[in-house]
Amino acid sequence: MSQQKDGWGSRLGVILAVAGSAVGLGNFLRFPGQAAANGGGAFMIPYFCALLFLGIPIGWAEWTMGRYGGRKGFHSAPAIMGVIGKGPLFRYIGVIGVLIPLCVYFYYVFIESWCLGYFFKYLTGGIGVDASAPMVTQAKQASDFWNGFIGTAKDGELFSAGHGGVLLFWLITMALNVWFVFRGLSKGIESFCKWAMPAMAIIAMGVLIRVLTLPANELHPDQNVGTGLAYMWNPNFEALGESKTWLAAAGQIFFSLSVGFGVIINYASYMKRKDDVVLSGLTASATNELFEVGFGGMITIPAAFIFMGATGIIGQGTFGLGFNTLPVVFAQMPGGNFIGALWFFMLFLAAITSSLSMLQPTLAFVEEALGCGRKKAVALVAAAAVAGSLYCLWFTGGTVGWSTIDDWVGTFLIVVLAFFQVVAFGWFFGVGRGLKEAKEGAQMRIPGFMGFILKFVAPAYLLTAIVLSAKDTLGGWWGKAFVPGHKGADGNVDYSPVGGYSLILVAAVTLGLVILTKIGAKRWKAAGLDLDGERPPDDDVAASGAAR
Amino acid sequence: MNRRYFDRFGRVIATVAGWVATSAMAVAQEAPIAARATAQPLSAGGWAFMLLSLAFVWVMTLWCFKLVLTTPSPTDPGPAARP
Repeated sequence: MSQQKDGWGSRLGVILAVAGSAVGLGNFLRFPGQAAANGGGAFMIPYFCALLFLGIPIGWAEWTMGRYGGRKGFHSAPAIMGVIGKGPLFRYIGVIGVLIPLCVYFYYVFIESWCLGYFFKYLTGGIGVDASAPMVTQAKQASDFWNGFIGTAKDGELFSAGHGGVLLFWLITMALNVWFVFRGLSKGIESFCKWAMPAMAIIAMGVLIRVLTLPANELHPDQNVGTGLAYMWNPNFEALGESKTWLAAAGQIFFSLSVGFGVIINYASYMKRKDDVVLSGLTASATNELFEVGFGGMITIPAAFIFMGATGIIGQGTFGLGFNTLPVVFAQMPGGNFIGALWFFMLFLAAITSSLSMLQPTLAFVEEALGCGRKKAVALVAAAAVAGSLYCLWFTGGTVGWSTIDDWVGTFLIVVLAFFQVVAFGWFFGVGRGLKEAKEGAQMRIPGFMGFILKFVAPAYLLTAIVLSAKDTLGGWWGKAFVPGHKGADGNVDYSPVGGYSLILVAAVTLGLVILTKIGAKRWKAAGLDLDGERPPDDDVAASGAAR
Repeated sequence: MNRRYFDRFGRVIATVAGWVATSAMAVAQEAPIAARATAQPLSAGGWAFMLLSLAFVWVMTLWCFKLVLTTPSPTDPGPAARP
């Protein structure tokens, strides 16, 4: 049984690692679209309210639970949830904290490889958008390239002739992820994030300056930097009267900060007892907000508006904006290939700092459950990650395969896990005890009203979000996956068996993780660890990683 | 303790309170935007929301990192850990 200790090299390291996990494609592509569609500048009122009264408190709870679990010798979400929730029920619910990062990794590494591929394409001459062609043609060229690149035409397309490049980018991305995780927390993830986060900030600043100094559109002089910023920031206060604006703001904050993802609880478990979780949590959140509002809010929409106007933005989702609209923008821009390369390299860095954080929780869990060393655990996790990712690479037709996993695991289950986490923290561990625990080593105090928020407001909000998701969306998803002939809201048949395959894959992974948890619980009990959180809080396990 | 709390987190709350108050003034002055599909100049409310949001995230980030980098932590390698 290995007793190799793992841990962070510095406080700055863990902050940048958590911030790196939070900063992803959504900061640059999802946030600006959400803001522009939900009131522009007025969106920032519910957005910052959600940050202060939902995102930061739940984040603090996760940081605290993680550090507390680490003191008991655990680093995986199932084990820590068992300690916090005082029993096997929460231990098995904690399986979701490994399921989410692992299953999301299956498709996220694929998306990450698009960024690397686009970066390479822009370095070597662009993706073939002809700037002299009519705008509609250019948009089609960008869209055709993207659809071909990711193989949306049919399942298995990426494994046919002419798509070797995509697989190569995927292979490089996968190898980089496994290599950094294999090197360990401090030498791998922390070292990389300490380099990648400042690099992202510098690149984002460079792209921002380029966008803010762009000349007006020659054909449409009213489309310039000022009107582009106006499209993003001019407030529409009527949107504040709609509940969907407030839900969208809370949802954006929630998904952006990586809360309920199983990552923070794992990363924080490697902190020492007197390490400051309050300031660390706030700093990681603030860094995420800087990238989201300070860069994402100033670059994407204004740049797209200058060259394509509102029609290039309206109706584009996260990926549409990033991989269809922006390539057309880069084609018009002086020095567009260079800026495009910088942009996609920055997105690649944002993606890889996030994907690394998805492998680590699974790795810690396998190490703890099986009591194996890091090499063996990396081999097992890498094998599972490659198998799951190959599934996503094969079932690319209409993006049904991986988008089904994203809908169920990467969207719905995050809210479910966060709900059970705040319930465990506020009701089972005790909110007073939790806040007292958070205060240890803290340079700043958590305001008392945060206890009320964590005990009542956050669970109520999350429960509402779960019910609304289940009612409005899950029913449709279920029909699409398992009911042949199922018709969508538009009356057309939207059934695809691939959706069902994806859900079966998720169920199989869940079963495997449950079995591993059962094996692990026996080991932890035999080792005399406090797996049900029954002993006094000060009864720490001396050596970090004692569960291994 | 209360004073310490106000000195630290209180600054964040105070910043947000100022931001909300300014936004409220902008709410009172700004007419609803009917058609967002057309190019419009950046309005006073747009300027206010943009600059205040940017100021908030920049100040919060720099303030947090200043605290992190200027105060010791048990995780950070101290003099004994250095060769």
